[in-house]
Amino acid sequence: MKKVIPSLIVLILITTLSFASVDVGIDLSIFPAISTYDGSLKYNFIKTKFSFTSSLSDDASIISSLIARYNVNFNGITNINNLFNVNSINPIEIYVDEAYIKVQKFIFDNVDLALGKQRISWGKADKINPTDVLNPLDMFDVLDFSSKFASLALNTKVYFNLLDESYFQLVLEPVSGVAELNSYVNKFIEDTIKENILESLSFLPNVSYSAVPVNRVITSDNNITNGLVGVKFASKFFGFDTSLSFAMRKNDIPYISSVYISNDVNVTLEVVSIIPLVVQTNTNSANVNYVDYSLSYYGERMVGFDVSKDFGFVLAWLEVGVFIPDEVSINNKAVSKIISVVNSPLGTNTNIIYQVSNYSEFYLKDAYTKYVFGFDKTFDNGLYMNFQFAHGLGFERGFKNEHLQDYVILNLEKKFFDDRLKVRTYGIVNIDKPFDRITSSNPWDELVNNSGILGALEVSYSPVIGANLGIRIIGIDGNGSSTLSRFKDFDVVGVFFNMEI
Amino acid sequence: MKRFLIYLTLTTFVPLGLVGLSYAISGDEVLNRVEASLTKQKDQESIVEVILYKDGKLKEKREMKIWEKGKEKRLVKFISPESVKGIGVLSLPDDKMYVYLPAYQKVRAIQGSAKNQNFQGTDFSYREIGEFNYSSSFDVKITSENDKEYVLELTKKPYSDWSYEKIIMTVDKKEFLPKKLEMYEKGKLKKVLDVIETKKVGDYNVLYHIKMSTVANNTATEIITKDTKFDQNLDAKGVFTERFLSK
Repeated sequence: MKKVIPSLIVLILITTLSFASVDVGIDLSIFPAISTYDGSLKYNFIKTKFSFTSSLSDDASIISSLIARYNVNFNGITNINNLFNVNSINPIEIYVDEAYIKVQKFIFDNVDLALGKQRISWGKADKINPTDVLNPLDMFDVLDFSSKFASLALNTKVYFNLLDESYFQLVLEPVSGVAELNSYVNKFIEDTIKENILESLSFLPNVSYSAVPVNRVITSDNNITNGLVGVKFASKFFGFDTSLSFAMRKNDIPYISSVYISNDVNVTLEVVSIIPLVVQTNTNSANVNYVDYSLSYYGERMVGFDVSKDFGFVLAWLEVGVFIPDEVSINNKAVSKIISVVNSPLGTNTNIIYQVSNYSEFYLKDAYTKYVFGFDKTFDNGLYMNFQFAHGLGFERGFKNEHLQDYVILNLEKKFFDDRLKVRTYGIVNIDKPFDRITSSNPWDELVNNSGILGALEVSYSPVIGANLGIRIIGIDGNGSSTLSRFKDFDVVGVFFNMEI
Repeated sequence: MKRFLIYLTLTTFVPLGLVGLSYAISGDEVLNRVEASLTKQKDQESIVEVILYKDGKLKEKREMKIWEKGKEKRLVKFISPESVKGIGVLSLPDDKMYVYLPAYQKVRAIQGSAKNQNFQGTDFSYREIGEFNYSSSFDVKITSENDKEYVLELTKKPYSDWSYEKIIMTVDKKEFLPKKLEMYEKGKLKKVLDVIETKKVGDYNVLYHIKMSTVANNTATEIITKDTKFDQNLDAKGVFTERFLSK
């Protein structure tokens, strides 16, 4: 809160001292939703965005916004002291969403410049944009796979008159932003670690896992070399809107850079005669009781291409991002405390031996490609349809457990009663490695056992323009390694209210 | 001789009766003159008030800025209230149309038939907002005339993706300005555009006050011009570009 008040003051000062009138907007969203499984509150937030815009001249303006998110849960209350703290009882996040100055015709008529904390969205596809890498992900809303935070950036566009609306864009960010994660990502990370450990100990007949992992996050140094550079050339050719882009940054989602394992291995030996020595192993078990892991950020380069065209009957798009990561290894260190109990006719002898093993493996090495193609269409009767096929979502990366998965997404919308009543339904079919499944010996079972499905229905009413009150039902099911299987407890029903003034 | 007169009558007047009345000017010429009379100026920049009605009661007031050049270049932007501020539409030749939604900070092309959808809750479609261009998409004939006005019937050309099959347009004979348009879709009257006030500013005609009503919904949208400027060389200033749309 101490940091918020000065931010707020600075924002208001910036906008009011601009010797011009300030336009203020408020965007309010309320969405409480309960799980249909157990009645738990999956969503219970109020989000308010205050926007301030001040025009300095015809070509220059200051844009700023502040977001207050009130996420009502009592997770922060663990002891009585928390009950004395208003922030535990009313958990509010307040942050500067955007704050930048935008100047068109900066020095030269063909140059635009924006400086400050800003959202810079790349990509012609609809919401799922593989090339949109200039801002970090905001995973506050678990099922919103495309929300992003703004970043501090210098954003310049130079327009050319040679081609129809062609421009070159340069984006410089002093720091590569980091994503806000959620509990589902945390669970995925810890499940991945547990799975890998158990797999590495699978030669033992009895393995148990009782560790509560501890972790640390190693962020990149605040050094310009860890910043972001993005360049883009956009133009139109024969009615096709196209662009080529390149970005170099630190990936905004951390990877597991090291795992330290400590486990007890119990070995019981039975010596049945002294000469010759015959040893019989009765039990051989291990318990993983301590796991300590680190998360770090790695560098990557992205080469992107996108194109869209209105064919009249549909508006279609294709967007491709090729990601070239740094070579990154995961460092594993396992310390085993081997307790051997030797039972012999001479008596029982207990030995404790510590065994340390270090090994590392490549976590990231090869380039991978994310792509999305789709189209949208409004039928004569007003029905809006949006179809997309995506290989890889924003948080997925092309390696190990996080490899890219495939998604077929369909969204249908129709408005009734003078556009006041809107019915929207959307669905996602998610298959992990569909080609491998289809070519397997049992394709149907393989597909079903490694796929997920999401279905949603929204009915909203707009009593006045800018306001929507509605009900949203989301159902998710999934199996095996599919992404949606991670969210299958996320069947929710809730009411929502949005208002912009 | 009697037979000759009957023959003359049949060959001259009956065909005329079959095809309708013969007019001194064709429907195409009338429509072209209407469109020309509205686009005499090199370009135009206007601030307009947009008033939305439901069941005859005022629902909302907004303000828009419209920049236009000829029949095919146009940019419309809401300037108030805050909830719609910055939302804009750019129309370019060859039926290209782009929309800018500030929330997404992206310019997107508008797909063909989506252009017939209502623009941001108004009764004007994306195509109709701030524009008067029917000659490229409709065939025209005069159905009646009197000493004050022509009545035109516009029929959709086969390749056109407008949603209206027919438009009945009443045109002021003196100034060649539209007075009323009735738009028909699937055989039913869908919308009515009333030109409430026109003004002559110098040599230029301006539709100063218009009202579009959607019959089935009993809604209407009025556009009242508050301020207008002409001939500012908007094209050279880069107004009709995606860059300006997202400004």
